Amino acid sequence: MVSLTLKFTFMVIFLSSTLLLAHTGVKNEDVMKRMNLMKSMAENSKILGKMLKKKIPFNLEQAKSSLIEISKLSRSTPSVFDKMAMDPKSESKMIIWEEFDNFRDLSNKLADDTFYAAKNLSDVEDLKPALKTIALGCKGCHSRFRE
Amino acid sequence: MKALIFNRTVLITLPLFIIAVIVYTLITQPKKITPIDLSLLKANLDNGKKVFLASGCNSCHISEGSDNKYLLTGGQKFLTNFGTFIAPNISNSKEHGIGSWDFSDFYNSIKFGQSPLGEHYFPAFPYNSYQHMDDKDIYDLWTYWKTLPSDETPSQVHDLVFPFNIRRNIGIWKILFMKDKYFDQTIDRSTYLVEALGHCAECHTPRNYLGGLKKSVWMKGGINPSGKGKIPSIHPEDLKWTKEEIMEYLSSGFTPDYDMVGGKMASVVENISQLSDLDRELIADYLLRIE
Repeated sequence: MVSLTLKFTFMVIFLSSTLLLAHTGVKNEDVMKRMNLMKSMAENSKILGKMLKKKIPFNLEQAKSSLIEISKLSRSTPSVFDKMAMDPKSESKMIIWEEFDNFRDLSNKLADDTFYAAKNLSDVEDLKPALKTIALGCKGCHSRFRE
Repeated sequence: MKALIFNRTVLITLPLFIIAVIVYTLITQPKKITPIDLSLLKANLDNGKKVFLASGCNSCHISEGSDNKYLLTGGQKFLTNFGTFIAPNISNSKEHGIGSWDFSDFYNSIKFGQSPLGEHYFPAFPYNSYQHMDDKDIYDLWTYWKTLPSDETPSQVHDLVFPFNIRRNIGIWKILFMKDKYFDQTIDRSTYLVEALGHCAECHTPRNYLGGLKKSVWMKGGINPSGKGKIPSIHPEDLKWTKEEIMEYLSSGFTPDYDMVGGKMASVVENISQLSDLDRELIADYLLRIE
């Protein structure tokens, strides 16, 4: 019975991950992990952007939480890029692995900067410099390492 | 008998060949250009910098990965169906850049795609767009240019396939594709920013097999000359961004989904973000009115 349940669980995990990969057209699971991490960063940035543009009400705790989440994601970015994996859908450049130290430094800088932005966030006015920090960090990396 | 046929063939084909050579020489002849009269122009450095940013000269002409956005060393490679173009050094180096040029040389390169030696430039240099640039803007840009640093890195030779490596043939390309008309019928500052200075169509519009822009699919996306994948369509049918979203992207680099601009476009956004809000609004206006 236990074995049957396990088989079923594995089957569900396998099918759902296959469906997920098929949905985006990405075949390589390592690339998929990277893309999901980047997507999470964008989603958290979007929350801050919406608050800044008053499309959703400003919520200090939620804003801090989004910044901390971006900081954590930035910190773990080098680990998901550790393996040199490519996929036709990937926009990563090979130069990431040729200049991995630089790539890691930029990711860690964004992690530090967003952590301090979270720490110093006290009202809606602080969102603008916080988003600028995110934009500069993301752009610094994307301009060199992304197609 | 054979000698008679040979002689007759030569008699017919030789004049045709000579006529073909004369016609080719005439139509591919670079223009004779009158030097520019500078006496009426007064330079505006601030405007020169704005023209520099809007034209995005540094997006292609700084060396790969350089942090100095004003050191126009060259060296970036652009892989095309015609071979690899390598951006030249256009810093103020007298030996390796354009430091020995005068304004007339600069003007002719931008307006006509022609070198001081009277050769055609390859249209990887987007003079097909820059030809619309206002004379005063070119003069301000030149004056600003003279304040930029020089670099002594030699330019590399383009690696192109025959017959596209023959500069003279670009004379034919210019006749076919270098029209001095704007694409957009509404000729205003929006058109000027996008079609002349920003030269957006050079990457965002697909090209035919000779490298001419396919105007029937204006801004519908093209092949990425500096990497894999495609340059996306920015036609409103495909982009579907609001004016505010376009302005935000050109200011911060954030897409409506808060993805971040990457690759060469990151440099373009960095430049455009330093223009005024009004200029970004005008660019957005143009992009939204493409039919």
